[in-house]
Amino acid sequence: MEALLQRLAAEWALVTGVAGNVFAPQVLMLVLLGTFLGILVGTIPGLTATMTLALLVGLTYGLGFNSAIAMLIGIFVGAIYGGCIASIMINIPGTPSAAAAALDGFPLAKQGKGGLAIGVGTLTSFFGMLFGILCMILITPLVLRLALMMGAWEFFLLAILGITLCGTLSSQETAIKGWMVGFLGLFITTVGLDPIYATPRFTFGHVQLMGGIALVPALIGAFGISEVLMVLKEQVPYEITMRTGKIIPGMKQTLRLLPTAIRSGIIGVFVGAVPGAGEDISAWVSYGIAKKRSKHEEQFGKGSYEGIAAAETGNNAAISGTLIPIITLAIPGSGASAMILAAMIIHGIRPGPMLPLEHPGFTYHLALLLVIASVAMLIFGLALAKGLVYLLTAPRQILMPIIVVVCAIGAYASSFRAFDIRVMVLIGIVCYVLREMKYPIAPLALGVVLGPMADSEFRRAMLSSRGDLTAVFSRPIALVILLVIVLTLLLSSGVVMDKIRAAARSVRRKRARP
Amino acid sequence: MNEEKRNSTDFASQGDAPAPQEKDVAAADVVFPAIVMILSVLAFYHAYGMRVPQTMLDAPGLFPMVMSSLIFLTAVVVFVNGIRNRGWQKLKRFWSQDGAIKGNVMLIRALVISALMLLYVYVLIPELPYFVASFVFLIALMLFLRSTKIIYIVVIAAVASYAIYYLFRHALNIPLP
Repeated sequence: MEALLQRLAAEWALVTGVAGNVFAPQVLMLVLLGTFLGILVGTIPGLTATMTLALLVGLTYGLGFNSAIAMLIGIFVGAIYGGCIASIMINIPGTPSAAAAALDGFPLAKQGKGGLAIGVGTLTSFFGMLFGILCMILITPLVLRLALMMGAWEFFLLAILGITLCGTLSSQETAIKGWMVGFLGLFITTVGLDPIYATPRFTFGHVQLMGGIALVPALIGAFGISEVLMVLKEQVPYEITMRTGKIIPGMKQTLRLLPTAIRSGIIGVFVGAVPGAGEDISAWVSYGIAKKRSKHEEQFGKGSYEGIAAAETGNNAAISGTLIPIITLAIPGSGASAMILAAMIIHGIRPGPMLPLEHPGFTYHLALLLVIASVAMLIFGLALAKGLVYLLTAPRQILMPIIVVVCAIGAYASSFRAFDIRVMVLIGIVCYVLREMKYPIAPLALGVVLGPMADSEFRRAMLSSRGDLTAVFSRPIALVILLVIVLTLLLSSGVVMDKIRAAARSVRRKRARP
Repeated sequence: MNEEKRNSTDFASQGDAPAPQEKDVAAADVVFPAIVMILSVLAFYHAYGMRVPQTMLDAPGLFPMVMSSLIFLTAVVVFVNGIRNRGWQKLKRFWSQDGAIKGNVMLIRALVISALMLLYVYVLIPELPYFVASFVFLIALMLFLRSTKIIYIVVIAAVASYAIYYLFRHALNIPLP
């Protein structure tokens, strides 16, 4: 008992230690501003959370880490939530993670209940955030303890696992395309001077390439420029229902949604923590399970508040879920959280098992920022819902060209090289072409983020085991990660899945026979 | 095994299975992986030729060699899938069509927007002050997109360029290109 009290006192000391940084007026203002901007960005279709975060990682570089991370966390929370407003009112997700909310939100908007749908979305998003933060605080120390037992082989294999999982989960068709661009992302980071021996790699005598492909311009290109091209290549007209009705749901209705919200919160955190799954898949999985478990399954897709609650709790709980592997293993759970990792890296914060020693209380720092952003999201969301609907009329043909100009500054601001702006546009165009050919971009971005770590850990692992690849089999954690990779590859490859499907069909046929 | 295969084909043909989307991009699934295969072989060769300071185990070329091998392997699988999905025939049909590119409005829009972006970063930014370069780029892109009336486009481009310049250069103290 005494030990527990001592532990709690030590944890409380960590919380109070970081509270000073978080509640500094400038930091507080930036979280609020970030959340507000995030909601605006999330509401406008075409401006995604990942794109905005990629852009602001570079622009907030000069602010210092405390201020930069405060603003980025605010934008992350605000944008993931804000996406539901466009989903509900115009049936076009403001951000990809809000797509599931459109299934029930839009039918409700057509019935004139769009306001109430936004209200339910806001309250359940807030619940999902708080639930996710609590889970993050509880789970992070456990994963950190595990991470302390890991060495070079484990970290290299984790990077490969991240790429394979992300490739599998984000691919629209075959997983192999996701893996291919993921490895391409890892490869891109080898351009420039080798960090150990300063040997030029793939520079072909160009001085500018010696500095390598910088992280921020690559990410802005991948998510910003390619998104601008995707949006501007076509003009999709949409009809807006401006009639919203009342916003705040009644107490009874809210309490009825509580079981769905708790279940979706748990799903959101755990799915979000899987590298590559992220907020989008969390929302869909939560929605799917809520539909199966609901007593009113028939209402799903026709205007079910339960459906909105499941999707919105799921994607917001996933925000904290995606931060768990970042803090503990330096592996992002989604494209948007990869930007948070990028911000940490460029500000000299090295996430991973040594983080609690180098930056005590870092998890609480993030948790407090998330709580403030969640409260701001709730207040802004409920107070400004009706006004935010007018934002949907903002013309994208004017917004997107301006975003290109801001992207150029974002790419330049990270290291003040005009070369980076060119790299950003070239990567953006290449990523646009890849997206047109149904290659997912998230694994490529993940590869660019994880590349330097994977490179150095692989070489360290090879050196320590003297080139003996079987050394992996004598390391239990490495072996488990390797098995998960193999399992992912086998299950995602068509051959194994076809056999499983065929077996399932034959079982169904046998059962159907009298 | 054969029966299983036949059944799975029947299943797909009945429309119960999701639509085989890969056939839409099958032509690209032949060309793009073929290019990637060639480039990954060249990258492997280049990495193999890199200086080995001490031992091959931590040589600068080791990781690029592993990655280029993995890229090559995955590209081969995508290429084979592309061929299986009749990508080669689709590619031939695409090139034999008159106006295959001309008629594709979205492709033309994407090409022009990409060209304008390249013009912005390769010509306008190096040659003109950032504010002026952005002003010219915004006018050109919004005119192409027919965003609004010409007079509004000029006003929006001027206000946006100056606002961005002032916000980042003076308010946030961020150096501009």
